[in-house]
Amino acid sequence: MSRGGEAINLSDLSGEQVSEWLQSFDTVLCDGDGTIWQDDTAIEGAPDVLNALQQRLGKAVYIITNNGLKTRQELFERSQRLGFQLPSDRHIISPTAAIADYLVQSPEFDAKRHKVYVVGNAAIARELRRHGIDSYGAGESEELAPGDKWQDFAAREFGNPKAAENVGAVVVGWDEYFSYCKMARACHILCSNPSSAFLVTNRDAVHKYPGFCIPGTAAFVAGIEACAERDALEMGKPNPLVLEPLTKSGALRTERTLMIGDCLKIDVGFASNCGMLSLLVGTGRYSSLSDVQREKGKLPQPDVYLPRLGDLLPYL
Amino acid sequence: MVSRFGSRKAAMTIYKQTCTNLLELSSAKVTEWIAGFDSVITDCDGVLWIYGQGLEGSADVMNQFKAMGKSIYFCTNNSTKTRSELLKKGIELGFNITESGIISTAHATASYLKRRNFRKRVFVIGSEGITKELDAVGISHTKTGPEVMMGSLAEFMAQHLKMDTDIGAVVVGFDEHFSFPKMMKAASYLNDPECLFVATNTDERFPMPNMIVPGSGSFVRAIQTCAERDPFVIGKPNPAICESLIKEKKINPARTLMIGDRANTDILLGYNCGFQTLLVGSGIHQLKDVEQWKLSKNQEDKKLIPDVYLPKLGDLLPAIVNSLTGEK
Repeated sequence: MSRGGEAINLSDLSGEQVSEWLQSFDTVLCDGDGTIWQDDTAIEGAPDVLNALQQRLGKAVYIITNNGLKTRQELFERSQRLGFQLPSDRHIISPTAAIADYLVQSPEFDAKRHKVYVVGNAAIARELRRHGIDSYGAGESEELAPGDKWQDFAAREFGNPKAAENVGAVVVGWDEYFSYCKMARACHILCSNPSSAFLVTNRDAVHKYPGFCIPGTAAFVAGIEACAERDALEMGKPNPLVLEPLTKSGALRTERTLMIGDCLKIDVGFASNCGMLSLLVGTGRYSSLSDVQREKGKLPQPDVYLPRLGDLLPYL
Repeated sequence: MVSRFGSRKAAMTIYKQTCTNLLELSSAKVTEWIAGFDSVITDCDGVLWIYGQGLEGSADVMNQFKAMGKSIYFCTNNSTKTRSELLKKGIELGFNITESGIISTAHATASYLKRRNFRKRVFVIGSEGITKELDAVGISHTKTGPEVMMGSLAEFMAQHLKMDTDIGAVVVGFDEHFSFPKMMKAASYLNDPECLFVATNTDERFPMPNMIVPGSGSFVRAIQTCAERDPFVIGKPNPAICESLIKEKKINPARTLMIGDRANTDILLGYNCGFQTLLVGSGIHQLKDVEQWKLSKNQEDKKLIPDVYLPKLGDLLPAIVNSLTGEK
């Protein structure tokens, strides 16, 4: 199987070549939105394919998503509802889970006395709670009170040394309540505690729709990074860091792992960063192989392509 | 005659990007250096004053420069005040300054749009410093102040989101009411490539004693990220802020001194415009920072090295007195 940077449509290969390809990996990492489901609806054929890869071919299958709005448990429940038969919620790799796992094993973070300041949604708090970690700020609004000057707010809130005491991490996720006050608080904590962790769920810049653009998490964290003069650790694809728990424990070997996704930049980029094989499906960002090939030189190219994941079923 | 002009030229270039400490030069040399510039452009926060308090000796030095016949300009990246508000503050702190001697990013932003014959409406993420300057040149704009997220995203979009149809520019400056709704509107307006994207300045932190707080640059970075576009930056170190002074021949760059406390805005502006530069240690950057830049392999860092240095502007007073009384 050539990995020379030219994407091949799997359906152009002979049965024997596909069989050879299927034997080249033991583990499958599969993206969520646009690959196997669209919010709460499964993409046709996807559950059958992932289940067959597990049950007929004995592959270890994980769903790996950058969705930072749900906990690992909630994503696992969705997968079950939609017909995916993963062995446990440990087969879900998601930003909130990666963040909690990271803090739990971090030598600098002590859950007995440290808490986490969250600029993001309540799912982050729920996941942290599940791992015995206290947090504050998630899902909350914080604005200047009418008539309150920002200089007085800052002096009052950050003048007291207790303000940043025992805050062991700042976590940023998608936050529709993002505000100056939250930015200032996050910066204050990061600058007061240089050994505190600074984590972000993922770096989507913006979500574009006809008529309007919704700011992504990257925009919130960029503002905080600029003021704090510190960069956040990205706890989602394409950062190889999110696979560390699995590679460290020996649960997977990246050179024998296939990454399936719909996004060249995030999914194929992730495969490339980790030294994994890649399959791009056309049910998300790109709807044809020529669309994919048009990005050659600008974005990473997958090894193989299929219009839909369900198209793999006849070969399994 | 020839040798006097020759030595004056040497005095101007001899210190170029050397960070020479003026306190270590002889009185005669400092007098010679003072005679080497006819115009002074100075930053405000960290040089003349810190927040509400004048820095010791700064007013005396600036007023002496003026009395010697040098033209004086205050140049601040702070977009929260209009020129007249800055003038009032300067006068209250004892500075001998007129409104035409004040260069502010709020005013320069309004001038920039006016010069381009801007006829549409401006979406402002900033304060009244900006909107008052826009009013003064007859450019219409949205209101500043709180814009709080009401409910979830879905509720916000269904019930509260109101997009204007004639926005031709998004201007971003310091905004203590920065919020998600403002970010969403900015990203949406800026999706039209015809819509201008202007940043008053890119200082990531607002100068405050004892506290690190977000500045305009942090808000600009957030908008830059979700708009996936870079802004036109009005303030230092973009030479555009001094453009009209140079074009209208009000100053001669080679005989202009730029004084500042922040190298990547003030000193870099000086470098970009061909000014002489003085770094004072009463604000952001210190001699140890200059040492780093001197050692750095990155050519961009060399532009941050000032010609001369003083711990604070007031330290120049004895030398000025000497030069006036003719003492050596």
